Amino acid sequence: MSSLAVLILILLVVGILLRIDFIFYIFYVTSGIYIWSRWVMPRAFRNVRFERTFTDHAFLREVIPVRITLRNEGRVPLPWLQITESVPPELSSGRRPNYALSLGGGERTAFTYKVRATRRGYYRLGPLFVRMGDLFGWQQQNAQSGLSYLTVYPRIIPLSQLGLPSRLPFGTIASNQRLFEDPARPNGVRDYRSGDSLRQINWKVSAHSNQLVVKTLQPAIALDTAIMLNLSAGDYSRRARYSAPEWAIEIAASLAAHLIERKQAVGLATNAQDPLLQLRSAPDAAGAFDAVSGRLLLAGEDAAFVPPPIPPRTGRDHLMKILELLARVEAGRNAPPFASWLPGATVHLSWGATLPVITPTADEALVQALHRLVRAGYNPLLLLVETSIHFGEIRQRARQLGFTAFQVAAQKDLDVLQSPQPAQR
Amino acid sequence: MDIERTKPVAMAEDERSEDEQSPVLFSLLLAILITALLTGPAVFVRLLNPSPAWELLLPVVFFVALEAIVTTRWLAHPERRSFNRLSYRAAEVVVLAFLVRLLTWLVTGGFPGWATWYEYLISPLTFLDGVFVVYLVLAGVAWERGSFLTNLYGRLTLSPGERAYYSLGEEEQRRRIDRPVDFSRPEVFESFVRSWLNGGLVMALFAALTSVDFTRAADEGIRSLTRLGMEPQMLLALILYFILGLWLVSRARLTMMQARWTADGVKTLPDMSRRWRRGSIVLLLLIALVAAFLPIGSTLGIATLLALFFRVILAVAQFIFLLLTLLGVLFLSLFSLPSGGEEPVEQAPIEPPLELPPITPAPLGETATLFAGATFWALAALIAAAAFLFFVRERGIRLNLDLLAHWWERIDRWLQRLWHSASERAVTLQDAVRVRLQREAGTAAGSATPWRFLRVGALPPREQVRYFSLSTVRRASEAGVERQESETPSEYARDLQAEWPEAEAEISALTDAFLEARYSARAIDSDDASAVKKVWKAVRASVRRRRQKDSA
Repeated sequence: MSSLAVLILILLVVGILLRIDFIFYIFYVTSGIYIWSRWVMPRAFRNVRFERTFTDHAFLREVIPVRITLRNEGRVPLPWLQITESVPPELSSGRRPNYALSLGGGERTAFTYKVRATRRGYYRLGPLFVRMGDLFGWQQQNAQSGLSYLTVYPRIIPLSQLGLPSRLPFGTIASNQRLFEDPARPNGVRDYRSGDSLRQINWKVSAHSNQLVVKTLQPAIALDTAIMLNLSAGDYSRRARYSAPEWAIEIAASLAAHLIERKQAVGLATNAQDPLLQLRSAPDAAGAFDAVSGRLLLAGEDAAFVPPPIPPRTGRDHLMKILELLARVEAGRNAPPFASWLPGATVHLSWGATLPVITPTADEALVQALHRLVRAGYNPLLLLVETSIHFGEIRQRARQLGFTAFQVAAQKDLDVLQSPQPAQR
Repeated sequence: MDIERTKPVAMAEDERSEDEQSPVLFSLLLAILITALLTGPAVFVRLLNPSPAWELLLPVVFFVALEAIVTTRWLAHPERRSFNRLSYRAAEVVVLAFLVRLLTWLVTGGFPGWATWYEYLISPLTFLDGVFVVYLVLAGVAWERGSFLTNLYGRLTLSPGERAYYSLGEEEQRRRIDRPVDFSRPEVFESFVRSWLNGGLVMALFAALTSVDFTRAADEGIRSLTRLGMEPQMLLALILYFILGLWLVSRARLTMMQARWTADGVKTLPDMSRRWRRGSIVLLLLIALVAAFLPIGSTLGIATLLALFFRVILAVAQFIFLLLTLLGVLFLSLFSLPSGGEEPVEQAPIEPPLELPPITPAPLGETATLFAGATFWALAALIAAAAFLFFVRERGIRLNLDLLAHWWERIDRWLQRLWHSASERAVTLQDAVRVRLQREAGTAAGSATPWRFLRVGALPPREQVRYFSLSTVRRASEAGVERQESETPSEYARDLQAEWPEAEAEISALTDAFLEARYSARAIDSDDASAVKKVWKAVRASVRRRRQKDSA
């Protein structure tokens, strides 16, 4: 608004030409207001700090509080600020945070709103749009804070009694097979139970504690599990193109969580597309986040966006890593064929590893590929996530080729897996 | 959603806008702002024509501005949505003009006398004297500013309908079909600020004008133009206009922002309005205080430099103008040089056009002028009365028609009694005079025509002249100089002159006037009749003296 500047100039000219001293006073007052609005206020706006605090990982259906803190680090009070937080619609649990407030010098104000994790994905929170202005309408500035990201894990279905077959002992999970232990790698002691070998008794500790205790040993060989997830969209039937990949991802997440809980080393390899890799390769990619859902989506496919396999590890941190990847991945139309991709994905795995292969269906090429894995010393386990009338034949064929096939087409099918299965050889 | 602040929130936020929370304060502030704006013209008028008549000029401006603000707010109420606002505002203006007229009579020495009223009746334009026009113009500007600014402010505020709509949930808002019409409140705010800034320019202009002694310049010439000190009223007006104006601009901004936030579903944190109001006051006072301690005036070095700079620019502009004028004159002189060798052709003199005698409009008669004036004022009075009734009626002030009818009946009865009484007295008086005259004339005059009372002043001028002449004939006959039937008026006049030589000229003038009134078609007006009346009185006095002498 330059009209005020014109008025100020006219006052100055009148004051000087007519030598009216009082006009100078009015000139000073109006100039003071103008300078305050145009010079002081913009500098005061720079002293405002914004901070968004929240837990950036969430499980499905979890409610996450997000706290926005505004702090005026300067001494000049800010008459008004309007803040508008951008919340992904799929996470929003009500009206989006939209506030108008004033902020005194050194004052801090915090807002807390909640988001609800309703769907797995990688979401963007923010930006926080901030509009600030002076008291008279001669200055207004817009600013926006940085972005934050929230990962919503896929749904985890508890598989407390999942008994996956293995050629070799499968960690500490109860198995009908003998347990091979390395006598050079003691793990600790425990009370003697009936049936324990006398050779396992730790005589020194038993004498010291006046009761029989036996040595516990670490396994002689680390038996890993690597989940192989097929997310090639072309392999899924058209009617289940959306739901079946999601179901496959949930099965993979459930297996990983279950095994990690049992202190097993779990890895993940998938031929899916990771949108985060795409975003990192082109940070300015417009529309990377869906405008409707606010979720990170795949804009285009590329072999470079296939995530590298996650090697088997134990621990919750590792599980989080697997779940993060499962939260982001999307089925790709141009994903590499699963049967040809599978051998390459298993080269880094140790001998004897169990390979739960999650795929919608199994053709002859995939069955042959799994057979080659059996011959290579791995223990593949075929989990089909789509119902098929040919499942009986597939199961028969798998049995002939030395591995087991399950159909896990729906929640009820998981019940089959939740009961301990006899190990297949 | 939870909110945490380092400073505790003092009070709950009132969702109403600024001026809705304190309407009286807002109206007063706006009226003061408008009065400050018009102080410049008022002081200027007073400097040009020092008179006590201007004492009430600013109070009138304040009152009119306040009235306009209150009426505009009153009309903006949803209950008055179907109201004919144009008619009401027109009635309001008429009432205000009438009040201003009454007030100007009061300040210029009381109400006008009968002579002035008669003058108003003959020439209605004399009603608009200088003082009234100045009062009327300034009051009109105050009324216009008050209405305009209040209207702008009202548009910045959310209407009750908008507030009700935006208080609904999002789903309910989507279902409703009465979504408020969206308009640009920032543009309205811009208009408000622009209006204030333009007023600031006017203030600066009048501050400059009121600091120059124009009266001395008018007496002694432009070279004696000198500066005056600024009037205290002008100083106060400048401070009020700028400080108060800035504060009102800040309030208008808050009102606009509140409306926008409500429409956008933005939740306003508690105590924000209070902080805004407090912040604007503190800031204005702080800057005003600091400005008071700054070096003031044209003595500043920078002011001197700037003045010098402006003078240089002025001198350069004058020089360029002079140069351009000189070049223009030289260029034009090329066309006016005499062309050598050619003999100037002598042209025949052009005969002046025939002058037609001016057409003078026939003068309106006194009766016609009176009729036109009376019609005009009757209409004006009718309009003023109707406007007044309309204005007060819609404000809830109802006239008691029964009481009025009762009073009118009483007045009517009193007038009828008065008329009857006067008529009876006139008849009694007429009878008494007739009896007395009959007694004086004796029984001989019993056969004469009965005397009839005649009011000479009520006769037309021509008949008055005839009456004067015939009356003289009757009085002369009673004195013994009777008119013969064969005598002409001129012959009879010679008889009278012979009998009353001291009134020779008057008798001659009376006879001439009679002949003209009797036989001429020329219009005879009241002035002519008055002149003849004087002559007749002189002749009558001479006749009366002779009769008195004879009777003595």
